[in-house]
Amino acid sequence: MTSKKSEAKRLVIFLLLAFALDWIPMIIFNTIFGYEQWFESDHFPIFAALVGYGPALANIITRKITKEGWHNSLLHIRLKGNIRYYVAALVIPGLYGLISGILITSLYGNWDFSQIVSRLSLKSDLGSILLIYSGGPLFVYSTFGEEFGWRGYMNQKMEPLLGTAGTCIAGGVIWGIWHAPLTIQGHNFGSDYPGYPYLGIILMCLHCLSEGTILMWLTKKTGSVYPAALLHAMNNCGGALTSDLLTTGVPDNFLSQMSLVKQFSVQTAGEALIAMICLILMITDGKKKKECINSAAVSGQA
Amino acid sequence: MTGLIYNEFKQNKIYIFLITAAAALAVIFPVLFYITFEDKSMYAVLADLTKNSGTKRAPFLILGFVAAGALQGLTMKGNDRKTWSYFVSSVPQGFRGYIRIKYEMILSMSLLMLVSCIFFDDVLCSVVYSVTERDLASAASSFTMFFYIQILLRAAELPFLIRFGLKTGSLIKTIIILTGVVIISVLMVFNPCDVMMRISEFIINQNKLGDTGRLLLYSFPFAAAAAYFMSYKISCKLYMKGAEHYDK
Repeated sequence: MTSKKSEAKRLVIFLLLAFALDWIPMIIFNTIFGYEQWFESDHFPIFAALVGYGPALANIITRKITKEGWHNSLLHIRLKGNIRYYVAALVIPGLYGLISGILITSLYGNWDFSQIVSRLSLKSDLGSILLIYSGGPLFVYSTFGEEFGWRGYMNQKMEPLLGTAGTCIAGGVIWGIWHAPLTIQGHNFGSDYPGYPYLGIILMCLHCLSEGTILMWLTKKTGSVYPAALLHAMNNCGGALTSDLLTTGVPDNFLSQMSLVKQFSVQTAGEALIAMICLILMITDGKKKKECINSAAVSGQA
Repeated sequence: MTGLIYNEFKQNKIYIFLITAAAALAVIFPVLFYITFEDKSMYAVLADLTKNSGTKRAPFLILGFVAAGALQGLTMKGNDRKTWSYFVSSVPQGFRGYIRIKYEMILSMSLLMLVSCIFFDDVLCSVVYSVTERDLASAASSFTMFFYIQILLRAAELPFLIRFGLKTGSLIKTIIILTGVVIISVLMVFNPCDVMMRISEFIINQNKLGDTGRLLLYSFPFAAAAAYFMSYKISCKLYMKGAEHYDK
């Protein structure tokens, strides 16, 4: 079997397992307990914690089935020479929050800095920022389960088949569809919008496409899944809120008056911009590597 | 570096395993304790736990983290030997690489303690709701605070252990702790300027802290992380001095 065929086979096994190990429990929990009970409330926190580890389990089981070993597991921390990427993982959510905050304030159309300042308490907001940055990184344990699967396995298998851009797109769509049992229950966008639930699933795929691109860039640059898990954790713990605190003086109900698509566009514009930059960086890095390999081959032949 | 990491895991795997036991002690043991020693049904014990979770669980949390701290100290066992220090100085990473691995191992054990505590806490919360249909408040924020306190304590302790070896370093640590206990006891007895009242109010009434107090509180994790890094630098400076006094 050719290398690409074997990679495709491994990828299919992984995806089947990743979806089965999560969708089946999610559907069972939704049926028995109800989504609000097992996921949104504090009644059964262990179920929500375990569901996030489906992709990681799928990675482990696929490697056992296909006997491919652990040489490309991306489990080393690889801090040396990569500290800037770990710092980027901490800072990027705040950065795209900043961009989105500026966009929202622009839409609001009232650049009244005195209003922004009067709404702020530097000590209070600095305290909130410190709280997010002291607690957020510790929740890497909760996002590691997803990142070890998606970035630690799926992207590696997909890239030789679909290329970098194809992996970002397909990987993002797959990741978004994987969230579907929760999106349908209203986790990401509620259930009161036109086009429910299909529009919600599509928007989730778009969000995962952007975030997945940034996560893939971090993983490829460091050769480790931990920066991706760190960024994911910071994103989930409200890392993007850090910039909202500092840039926007708009009323709380300003965004909710817009359509879901408009809200989504405004809130994820920053993330999409950074994702595009990461994609361009990955593609140019890939081209440079190919040129190096070609020139090494040519000089070897000479 | 991989060799040193492998050595650390091989030497300390039992302590790493026992860390999860310490987490179980911190989280699950209180339930077993109250079921055994209070003449109540499991439902009554768990229902009581949902009402007074802070006071009922706090002593066991502290006990669990103290036990984890002791296990982390034990990772220094066996390495306070002259022959080992000469060997580790000769490896490519040098003794700095060895000390770095030690600090990373201890940090990893603290992280493992935190994650294990959160896992057992999630299990306990789920069981409590299943039995009583009442929510047990998650102690995740307490675990996080204990984690940073543990980092700070290790930052203070490790240079002593590295400079003086495990036995002498532990003795010095015990003397310092006992001195602190005596000072706190004297303060509690004589209570000058109501200082103990003010400290307990500061700790208990977090909501009344105000912005400045909250800012100071939320800066603590960063101070602990900075102290841990400084501790590593100090340990690097002290290691070879200490190694000259180790046993052969």
